[in-house]
Amino acid sequence: MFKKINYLLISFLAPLIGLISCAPKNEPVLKVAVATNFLTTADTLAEVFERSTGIEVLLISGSSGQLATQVINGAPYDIFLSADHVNPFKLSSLGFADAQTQLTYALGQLVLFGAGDVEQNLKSGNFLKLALANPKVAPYGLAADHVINDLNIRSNVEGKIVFGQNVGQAYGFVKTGNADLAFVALSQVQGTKKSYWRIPQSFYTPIMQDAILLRPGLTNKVAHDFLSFLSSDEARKIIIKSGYEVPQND
Amino acid sequence: MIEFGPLILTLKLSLVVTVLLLFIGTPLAWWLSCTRSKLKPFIEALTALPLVLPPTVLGFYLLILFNPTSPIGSFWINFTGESLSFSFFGIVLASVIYSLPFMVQPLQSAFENVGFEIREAAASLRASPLDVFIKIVAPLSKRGFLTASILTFAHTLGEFGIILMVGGNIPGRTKVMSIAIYEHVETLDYTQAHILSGILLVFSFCVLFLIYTFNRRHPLNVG
Repeated sequence: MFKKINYLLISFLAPLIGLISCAPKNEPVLKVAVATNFLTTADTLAEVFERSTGIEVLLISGSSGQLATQVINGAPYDIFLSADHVNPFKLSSLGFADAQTQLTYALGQLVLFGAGDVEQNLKSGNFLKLALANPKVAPYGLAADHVINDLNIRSNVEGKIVFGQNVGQAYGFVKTGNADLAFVALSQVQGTKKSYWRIPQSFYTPIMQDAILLRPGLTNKVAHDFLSFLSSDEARKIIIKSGYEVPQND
Repeated sequence: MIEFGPLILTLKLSLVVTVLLLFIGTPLAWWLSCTRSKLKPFIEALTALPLVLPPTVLGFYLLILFNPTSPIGSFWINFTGESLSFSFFGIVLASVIYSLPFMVQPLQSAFENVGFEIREAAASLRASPLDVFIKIVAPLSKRGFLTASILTFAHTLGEFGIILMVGGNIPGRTKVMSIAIYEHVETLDYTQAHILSGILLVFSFCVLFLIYTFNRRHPLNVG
């Protein structure tokens, strides 16, 4: 009986020990914390960077607020690609990042997403629920809030707004049919079958997505390289193709 | 300084869910404690599912079930004129599913503890099954009812993931304490996060402390 149990135990444990010992041996050289809305684009960028430099890039995704909290609590990231410009600023003012290195790598483009003539539906109040990312935590949500003010449709949307934690969740609310309209990022709706209205830039303050070098990255030459790669023509092309604008080169 | 909105909403949600689950969980637990049906393990497994499934799985399915074009969602919108997702009733329904095992399991074991012999004896004296339950089993299971209710209440108090997914963070309707805390942490507003978290921590401890104190004073003495 005991023997049987022993064999059973071993047959369970052996593969487990194997799994643990097979954990990756090479620590990635560069750890980049990236806001979830930029993750797929960052993936492409990291691939190109890896191909040309041979340096492995590890992407850690989360909301800008979450990532900033992780950094404050000691997460060992080299670079932070935020979805806004406030969080990088907060980090540098707290001494966790180098203010000199903050740069805008992309300008987020806001769209209204849904079925039919979304612009008309929004303006005439012809919808049940309008989803936005929470303006308190998500820059796209804040921009959407400004658009609602500028279009003077606050009374149309009163009681119909629902909040996602980020544009991804707002998008999902429409995708699953729980909301009719959602303010999301252009990068999310490319290639979608549903219609969308690209909000004119004059209706909202530009959504500056900023990158900054974090304290562990200061002494890492590769981190500096990755930052300058972000403003290279090659990287800018990829960023524009993914549905963002880039700031004019000065 | 303290935001009372999320606090009151959370207490309201927990209370409504506990009362609803008392009505749903009691007959279910009673049936489970008596039945010899082959369905029993199936139902038991189904009841225990919310214990092991991540809230994301439940949240994802509920999001799909609640949408106004689905059968349940469209029935609800025709019935009340309001969509089920992003409504208070929506998160009540989600919490009822999520907290179901916390009501059913303690009740079931309490009912089973009463003992088969007592029930048989009562039945042989021509007590109807309902009589057996109301006059004998329920009074002897007082502790089970209390434990189940408090656990359900406390568990709903701490619910987060599902509500985050189907609630839509609407103040006064779906923005419960855990969501408000999450938002404060996200915006690095640690003062408010500390206040709300502190309240939740102290309150939850007190609730559990009360259960254990009560359990010590009223040990199980049936059988």
